[in-house]
Amino acid sequence: MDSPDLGKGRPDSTVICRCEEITLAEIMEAISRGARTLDAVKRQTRAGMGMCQGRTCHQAIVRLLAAAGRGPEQAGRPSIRPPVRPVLLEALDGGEGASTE
Amino acid sequence: MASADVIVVGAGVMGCSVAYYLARRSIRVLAIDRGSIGGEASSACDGYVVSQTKSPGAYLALALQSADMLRSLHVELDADVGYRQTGSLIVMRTESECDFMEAHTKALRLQGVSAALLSRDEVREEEPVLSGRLLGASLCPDDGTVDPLALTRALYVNATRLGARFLQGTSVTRVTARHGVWAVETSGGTYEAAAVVLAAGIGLPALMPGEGPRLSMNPLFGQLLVTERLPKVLRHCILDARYIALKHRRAGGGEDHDDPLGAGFGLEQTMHGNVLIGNTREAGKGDRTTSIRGVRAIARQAAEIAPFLRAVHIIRSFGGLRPYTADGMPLVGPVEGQPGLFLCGGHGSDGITLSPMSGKLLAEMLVSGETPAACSWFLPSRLSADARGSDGDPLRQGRKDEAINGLA
Repeated sequence: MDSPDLGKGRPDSTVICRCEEITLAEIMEAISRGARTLDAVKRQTRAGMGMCQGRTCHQAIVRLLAAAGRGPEQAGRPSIRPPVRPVLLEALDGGEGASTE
Repeated sequence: MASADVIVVGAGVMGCSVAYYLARRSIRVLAIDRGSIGGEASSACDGYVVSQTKSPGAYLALALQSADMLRSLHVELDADVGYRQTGSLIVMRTESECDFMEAHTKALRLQGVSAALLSRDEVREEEPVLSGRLLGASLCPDDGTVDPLALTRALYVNATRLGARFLQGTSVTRVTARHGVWAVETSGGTYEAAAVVLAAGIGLPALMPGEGPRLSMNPLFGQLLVTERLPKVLRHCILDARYIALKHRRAGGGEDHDDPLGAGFGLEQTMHGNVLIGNTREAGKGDRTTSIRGVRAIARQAAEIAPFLRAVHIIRSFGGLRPYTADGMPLVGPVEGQPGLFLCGGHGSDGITLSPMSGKLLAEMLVSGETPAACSWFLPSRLSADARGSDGDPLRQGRKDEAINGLA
């Protein structure tokens, strides 16, 4: 990951978001259509909507946005929403293990 | 020089739908959004296309027409918008909910909705994962769900395919009429067009030009939970009768003053396998941050109605501000006294369902210059009529009842 242009020379079929199986080609299409932030790419492609909530792919997408002329500042941070990690629903239900407050 | 024939302000599901149906009529469209495509309420909601939650009358008729469009939209948009005819189940937990649903389903059937009441055992047969403690449910096999993200994207992509242009990350600061031309001032310069459509949801009142009728929006914040992907476990969209009873008892958004979270229960499994669990209806919330109180309220109901969910992982909470107008009815059509200015917004919690029909009707009205009498209940002109008549709720409520009872 030395080159700022992460996508250059890689096959279109490279998987960027493992959880939702979103490829480089799909990310690049969203960017070329005008997606300029992480959240915009996410809504167009579902990248970052899976089990890990973007922990794996967000950095890669920020690099792809940067290569398209969007620095990390402009790309923005993804909107963070609870829970921080996947949690069983029963833990939120006020029953045992409810220590989220 | 004109930048386009029509400028659409707001590129959520409504703005994209308006842009698409205008572009289909060879109108040159420029759509402007301060954020990204469908970045606000359109991507922070469920996808229910459910007739059973609607007030019988003109409103239900509009929802049924729009649902019909959603069924076949994938053909003309050449994209899977995620429409699935899952059927809907409205579950009942108290005797008073059963009484309400008996009367409600009767009214729905009079309008051709095939809603039928199920016994406790029949509910278990239809949806085995639901709690055995439910008293019953009403089933409408014609209802379904759509993927809000996929729908918004498909309308946007098709609008651009037909020549519409979209400016993202561009804030509209002012909309004014100058010598018969509309000027839209933005963070990226001024654009001109013969007509402007404001489709900016809760941002609509701030964009109204000075002399227009005063608009207000009373957004309700809806929080949802999303689970990990699961194998197919749910057959239907599932909602609770309490939510519908509340919604219909009140004008406007139907906030529940006894429960500030207004939590109504809803459950659906998306085309991707995630289960969406919702929805709170909170008044007076200014941002989209979810709260532990809201999350807990939803989780509690989910555990009660569908106990299997207790052992399922929640991966995210999210929420959107639903744009409710003062009388709870959408605003679709021209603004009186401001030739060339149109509104398309204020659809409350039904924006996704109503988007195709609203965009299509708006495009028809804009091109023909005519407003069919059957549309009168959702035309913006009703607001000026209200202002002339009285300032109180009774008139608005009367208007709503009229709309509900007077089937177009």
